[in-house]
Amino acid sequence: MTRLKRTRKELLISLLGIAPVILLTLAFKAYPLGSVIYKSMTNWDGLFRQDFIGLRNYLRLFRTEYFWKTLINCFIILVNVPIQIFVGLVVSMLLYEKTLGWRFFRSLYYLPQIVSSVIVGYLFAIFFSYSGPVNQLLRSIGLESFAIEWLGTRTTAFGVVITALVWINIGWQGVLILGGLSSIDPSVFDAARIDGTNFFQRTFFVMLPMIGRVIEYSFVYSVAWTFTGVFPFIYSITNGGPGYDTTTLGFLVYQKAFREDSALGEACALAVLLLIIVSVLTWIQRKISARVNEWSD
Amino acid sequence: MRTKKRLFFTVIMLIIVSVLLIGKGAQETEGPKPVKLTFWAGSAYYNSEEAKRPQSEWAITKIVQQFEAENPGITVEVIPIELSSETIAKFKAAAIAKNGPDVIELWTGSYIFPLKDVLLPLNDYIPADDLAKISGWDAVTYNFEPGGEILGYPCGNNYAGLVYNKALVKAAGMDWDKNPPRTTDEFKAALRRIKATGVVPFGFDGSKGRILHYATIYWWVEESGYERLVTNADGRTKYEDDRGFLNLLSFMKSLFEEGLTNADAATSVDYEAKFSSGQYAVTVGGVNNAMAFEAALGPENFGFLPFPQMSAQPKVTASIIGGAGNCVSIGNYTKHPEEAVKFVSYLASKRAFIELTKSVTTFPARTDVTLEDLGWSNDPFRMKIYDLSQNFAFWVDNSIPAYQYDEMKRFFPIVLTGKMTPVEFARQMDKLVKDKE
Repeated sequence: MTRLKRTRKELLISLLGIAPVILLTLAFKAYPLGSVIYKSMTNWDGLFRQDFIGLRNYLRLFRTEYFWKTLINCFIILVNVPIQIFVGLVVSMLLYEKTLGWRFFRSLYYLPQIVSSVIVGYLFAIFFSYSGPVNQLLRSIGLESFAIEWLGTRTTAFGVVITALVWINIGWQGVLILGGLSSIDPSVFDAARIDGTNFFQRTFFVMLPMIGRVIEYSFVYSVAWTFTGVFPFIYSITNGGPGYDTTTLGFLVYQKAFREDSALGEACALAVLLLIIVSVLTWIQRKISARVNEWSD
Repeated sequence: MRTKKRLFFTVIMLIIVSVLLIGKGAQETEGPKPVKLTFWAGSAYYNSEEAKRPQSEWAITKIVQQFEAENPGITVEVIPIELSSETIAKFKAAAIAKNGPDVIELWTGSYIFPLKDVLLPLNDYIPADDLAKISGWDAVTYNFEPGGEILGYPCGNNYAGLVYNKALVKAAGMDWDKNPPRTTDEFKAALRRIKATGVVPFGFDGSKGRILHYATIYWWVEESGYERLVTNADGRTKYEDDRGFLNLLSFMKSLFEEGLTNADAATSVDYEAKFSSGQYAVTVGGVNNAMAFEAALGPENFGFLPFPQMSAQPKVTASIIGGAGNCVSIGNYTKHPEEAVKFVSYLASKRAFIELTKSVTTFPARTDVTLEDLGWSNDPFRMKIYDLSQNFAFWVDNSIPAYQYDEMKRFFPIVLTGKMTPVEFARQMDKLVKDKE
């Protein structure tokens, strides 16, 4: 057998070896994606109506006010990302420093993460309802004027949603960043201490640069999650209201698709736009963090 | 050799013939093939109290058992569902895969029309007796067009109006049994008197857009009529010029502005609990939730108030809203259409309705079921509803396209709280219709 023949045979065997994975990927990733892209260019109603209408769904969406409003809403909710990373960082540092009761708090902080998102959402909705515990507390301490309809206006409704998102993610962020901190050789901190650095200097000039990749991952993941994963919170806390004030693109996809006279073609168009937006944002973030990491190196 | 061969073939032939005969005989003794129907049953066939008990104890289970006993060879599997837009989406997916339920409970009117392509038109199947004695066929006839395809059997009629706490109304010096408010001006004046006693006069639930659509949206159709609803919906006329629509919104907004409603009218989720515990004097209520209200307040304190008249020249002169909001339909992919129709017809029979009414709270969708049949002849509330139901306005949400109604649900709370004017909202509705075109 010549060398060329042997190489060809090896190539064939390798291709056969990875064929199942490729086929499964095509079946479960490429086909649904291609199907959604095609259906976004139809007037599909969930049944048999599926006429090709080109880019009409996209153009119609771009003409509506609610599309732009829901897009802006997604960016407003992004505020939760730096807050949850910051809080997670503080929590992980307290755990890393083995503050009093750290073992107990390590479990406690992670607790929200294992509760169903919808349950958390409903709890926040009840807590912040007009006659809920938050307003009762405010009234009982004489702050009657602060006992408002939290879910009735855009600003406060967003405040409640963002608080819920931060609260549920503290544990995840804490554990993730703690993992990053644990991978740093303790002698680095010892050396910094010997050099006379204080706590803040150690945090900003030693620790943060060393866990840059962890924070980058956390940032990229949390941004993508904010665009695609906050549905249960919006559904259970505000139901997208008042009006479209807290509706996100992901929630709008659901509303278009699961309405009684479902506009699934439009829902698919929204899903494609969402995919493009998340992909672009992830690409930008990776570029920025690559540059930041270059500077740190 | 030849004899042996002949004998061999004869034996083989005999075996084949015997097998065929046995097979045929077996087929003949088997009789008709058993038929199994699946039925996705919603709130018209079981209630939340029943849901806490085993399904074998539900009224619908007993009705199904009777049907099975009277129709040997047909069995029905009842699958309880919560009728919602998500359930309809599931039904659509199952229907295009042709493995959906044979029979399903759906909402009538504009909710059922988009499902026409997967539903069996029943025109040729419905017995004449059913057509004559069941009410609400127009609600299940495609596009409400006389003679159009009938997409389901109406099941259960619900009616809604205003419900009130008699003790709270009395405390404000009024007796609505003897002297109810007859116009919206009188109603508003009465609410002011209630407010003066320190009670929230009118409790709204805005969380899921239920402030208006459910009942008080009646005032829109009273002034504008159904024809106007249709022409607004298809863009021939404008919401902006629809006086009934604007008057309704302005009236509701004025109630909120004057503090005649709960302060959290736009977002509250607990209006039923608060009315039941005596915190609200008036709210919207129908046959479906009246039983719970009556049980909480006591029959002596629970009152039902027909809608006071808002329009000086009403196009619809009913005083309650309601009708056949739900129906049972058959998937056009079913392999057993005759049996499915037989079952649906049985569900709509007088006997089945009387049995069902013991558990579900809706009124039977039959003209030959009397209050005596149901044991309600000494029940003042049901007697009143029964009388009023002889002239009712059909559900508005079942009469307009779902995407327009969704927009109303979404924005009514904003209009109510004054963040958008009625005219601005009406213009937004017109734009929505135009965009859809």
